[in-house]
Amino acid sequence: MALTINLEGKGIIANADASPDTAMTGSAWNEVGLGTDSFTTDTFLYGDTSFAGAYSNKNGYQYYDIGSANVLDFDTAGTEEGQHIYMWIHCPTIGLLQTKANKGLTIRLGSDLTTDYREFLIAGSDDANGWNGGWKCFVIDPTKTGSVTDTGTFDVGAIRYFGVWIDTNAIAKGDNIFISQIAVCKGIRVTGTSTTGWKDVVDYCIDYPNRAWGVFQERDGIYYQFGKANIGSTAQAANVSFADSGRIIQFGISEYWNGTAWVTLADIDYSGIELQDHASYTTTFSDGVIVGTDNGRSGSVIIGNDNHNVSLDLYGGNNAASLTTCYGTIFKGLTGTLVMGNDSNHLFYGVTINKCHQFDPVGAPVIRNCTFSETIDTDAALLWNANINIQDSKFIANTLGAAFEYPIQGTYSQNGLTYSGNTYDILYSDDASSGILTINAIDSNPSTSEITNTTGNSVSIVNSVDIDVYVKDEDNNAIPGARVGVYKTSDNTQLMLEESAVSTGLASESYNYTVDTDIYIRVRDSSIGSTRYYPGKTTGTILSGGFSGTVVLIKDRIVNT
Amino acid sequence: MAIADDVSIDYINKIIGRDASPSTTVYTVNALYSYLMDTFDELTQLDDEVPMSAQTPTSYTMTNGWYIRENLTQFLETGAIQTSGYLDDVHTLVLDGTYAGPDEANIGTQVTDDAADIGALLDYDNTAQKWFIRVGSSTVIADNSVMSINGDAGVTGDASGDSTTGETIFANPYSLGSINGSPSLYIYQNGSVITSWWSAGHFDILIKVKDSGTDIDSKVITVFAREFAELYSHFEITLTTAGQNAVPLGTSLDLNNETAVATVEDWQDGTTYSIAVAYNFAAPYQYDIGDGNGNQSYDCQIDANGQTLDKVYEVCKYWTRRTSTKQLEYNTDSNFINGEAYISADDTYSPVVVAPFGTFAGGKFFGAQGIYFTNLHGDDAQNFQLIDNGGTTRNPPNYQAFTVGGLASGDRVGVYEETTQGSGLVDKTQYSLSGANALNTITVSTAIPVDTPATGSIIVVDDDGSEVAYAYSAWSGSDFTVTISAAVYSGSETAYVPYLYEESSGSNVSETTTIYVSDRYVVTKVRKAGILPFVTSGVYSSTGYSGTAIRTTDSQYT
Repeated sequence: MALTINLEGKGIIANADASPDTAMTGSAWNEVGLGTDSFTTDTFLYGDTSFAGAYSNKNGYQYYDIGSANVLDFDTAGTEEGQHIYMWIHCPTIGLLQTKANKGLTIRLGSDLTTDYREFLIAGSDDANGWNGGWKCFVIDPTKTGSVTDTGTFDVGAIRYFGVWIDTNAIAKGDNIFISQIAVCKGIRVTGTSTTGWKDVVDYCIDYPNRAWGVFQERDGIYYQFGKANIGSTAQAANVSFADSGRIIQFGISEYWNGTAWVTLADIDYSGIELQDHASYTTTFSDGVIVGTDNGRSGSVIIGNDNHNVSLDLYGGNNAASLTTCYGTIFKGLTGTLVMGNDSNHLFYGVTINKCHQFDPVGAPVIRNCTFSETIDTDAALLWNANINIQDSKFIANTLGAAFEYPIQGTYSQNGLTYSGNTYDILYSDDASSGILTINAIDSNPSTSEITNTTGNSVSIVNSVDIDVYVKDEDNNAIPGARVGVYKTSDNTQLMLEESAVSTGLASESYNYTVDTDIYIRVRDSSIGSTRYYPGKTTGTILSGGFSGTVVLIKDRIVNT
Repeated sequence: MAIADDVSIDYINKIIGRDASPSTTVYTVNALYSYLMDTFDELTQLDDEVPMSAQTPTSYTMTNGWYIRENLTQFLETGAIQTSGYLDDVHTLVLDGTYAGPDEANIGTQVTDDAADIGALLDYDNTAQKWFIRVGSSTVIADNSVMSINGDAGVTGDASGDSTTGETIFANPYSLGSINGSPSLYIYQNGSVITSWWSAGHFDILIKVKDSGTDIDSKVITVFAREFAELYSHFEITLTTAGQNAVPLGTSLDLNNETAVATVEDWQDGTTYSIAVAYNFAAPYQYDIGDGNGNQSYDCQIDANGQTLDKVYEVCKYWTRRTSTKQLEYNTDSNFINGEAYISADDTYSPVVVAPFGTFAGGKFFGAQGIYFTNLHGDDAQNFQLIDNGGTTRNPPNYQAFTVGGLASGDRVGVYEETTQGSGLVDKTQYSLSGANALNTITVSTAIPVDTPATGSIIVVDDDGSEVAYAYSAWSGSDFTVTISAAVYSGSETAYVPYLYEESSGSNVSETTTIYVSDRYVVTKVRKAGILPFVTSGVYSSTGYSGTAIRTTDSQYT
């Protein structure tokens, strides 16, 4: 079963052709001003026409009138609240526009054609924000403040006119402003089944002869997402299975000039991915390829942007059998809320969470061989919870926030968690006077900690590993009674001072591991009255698993016995 | 005491030294190594690096920056020690100026260079005015730096040259061989005697042969065994870095050197005699030993002062005995050396180990190369053998004396060639003149034999039998040099030359310039009014001729 893909919201409101769009009575394309308008089949994106205008040293407003009976309400509690306007615009004469200051090209939304409207400046001859004038889908949150003071009394709850104001100050030849399909939505919703889910979605959205949904676009193999992708539905009537691997999904930006800077034209929270399921029907989301039993590869790369707090909610929550698996997936720059699902079946293997908001595993997804790096969260890259299930993962270069936050006092174990380059490995954020947070680090190396409420709180990191030194002779026989000293290379701190055991030749000592530690080892046995050996010396490194090595002593045939 | 009581370990300054109150026990280097290994294998010592490693049972190395003091090496034997790690860490500094040396309390204290601390004092040698400092880098202490000890301003000195840094080697020579008794062996290194710390008799010691990276005289030392009254011995050796170095020595009693040293001393200082030695390397002495090869060069002249060579020999031994500071020369003029270290007149000459000036055996002095004698005693005309500067052995001709004893002053003595053995008649036809004589020359018809006295008298027998004696001052070939007018004789005359022809001034007369060639039958006549004429026959043989007059009073003489 293929995927079923729908716009989430109002949907298409104008197709930019001569026929009334989307059965909205009274709707029509038109122009007020000094230009000339027409439907052209020379330049188009969706279908085979676009609405064109010719402005040679002229200005005017090229618009779509949705009709007085069909006005859209984006206001709070309005029908279209939270939805955005996706408008494809093409202007091949950017250089002929008036400057930004003189309002070269704006998106004008009006509740009245001439007296009440809001404008969002998107280009001037002096600055087009990197846009070369080609087809571009501007994603507009009409509730945002316009570039200039609204004209008249613009009513965001009753928008009727959707179009472009253009003002050129030079001779232009032919049509020089085009508008293609206009949609109003929050994003898309996907149901059905696919093993190439992202690709299918994109291919569908960019099927320009049939649709020009700007929610997903593609350039040079990179998928650009504008808005939210809802996978599954609380109302789905069948299981949903969405799988893919190796895609690059970049959350796109759409900006306008607010008078002082280029800022997002969309709401900062409108981007994200959300899984949904139904109590009777599961949603399975899978990315990448599992490697072995607890690692992954070929995952997709999902990249946020600086304008939006891209969120990720990979937990439907209605069906315990729903499953999210990410193998080798890379989440980068996702600054919105990250919810990975309160489900112990969910798997995150070999996943990288880089420059993201705090990762909240909520319940007990299995996290293995993951990397949490460069968090942009001021608390920590990962939030502990009682059911957390994480092992063999790395926390690297988390300098804004800590690596791992423990909000509740207690004694916890870490297994296979390695830390490097973090300002703090542990953040202890419980209330004051909660007591000691004890971390029993097993094959882990947390060493630094930050305490939010220092009064009455402390952190104790216990990372006990063994330093084992076996002492043997040239014939591989254990040498008992040899004196073994182990010292840090960095500062000569003594870590062990033991005699080797009788039967094994083993000298052993526990060591509280915090970081890989270079050591040097001295072994001596040259006491009068027994076999005497040359001093032995070697070096090594205490890793998260401790140190084990053998020193072979050579019999001293010179020394006086 | 155990070695632990004699060895100190300064863990802070990494110094192995000698305990403040040690015994005099000398330990093997192996014992030190073994002790240190035992000490440093204790748990409490594991934080310290081991100070020593062993390469062979007699080769060891100070390691890991540990410094060994020389007050300890002087009590070690049977093993060489080199260092590894002194370079760019330990510096050696020689001081001059107003020097006030450090003491034991200063060991481990910071040395100051122009008032700034530069490192701990590890060791010192106040005799050589030398400090050993752990600078810890290659930065030298500059020449003329004002040095002191932090907290002890009484210690002062100025750097004499930049400090040096490098490794040090203590080599291990040991003597062996048959030596008489327990001679006090002494060592010369780089021209100076090392103040001995070892006992008399054979030694087994550690000698520093490299200091601060520089070999001391190419690691060469010379060990001497020169006790007066013994045959001497010495051995020059280039010590190897590792292991032991055998120094073979052999001494024994010298039966020709039994005179008390004080007596011998008097023989050369003018008290009794003035036997002396002199050198001339720039213009070597020319001496013709009379072997027919003319003059030869000799660097050294020993003036026997008319004394017999046995005395000369003992004086030579005296000059070169242990403790002798007699200033002798070698190689070049005024290149002096203490007699105790004198080996030969020139380094290139083969030394005479047992007696540097030469040996004495069988009453004969066998001179070392480049040495000759002057002012010999008459009895020693034959009692020596020389080696000229060129290395050629030179034997004197067989000077055999004519001696007549039993005389009294005023006795006239003549010793002549006899006509036939036992005839008692003088052979007056010993020579025939050869033609008319020239002015001041009498020429005979045959070559004058070498057993003719160098000076003496020639008696011409005229055709009429009259005789005239002419004193000759020399002879050569067939000519006698005399004082005579030309053509006094026609050449038909005969002549003869007495071996002795003089008036006695004492109890005996002798002639030592004659060289024995073959036996001569001689007749001796002694006459003086008041005694009966004495005549006797004899033979001048390879041992010379010695006759004794019998002076019988002529009772008829009035």
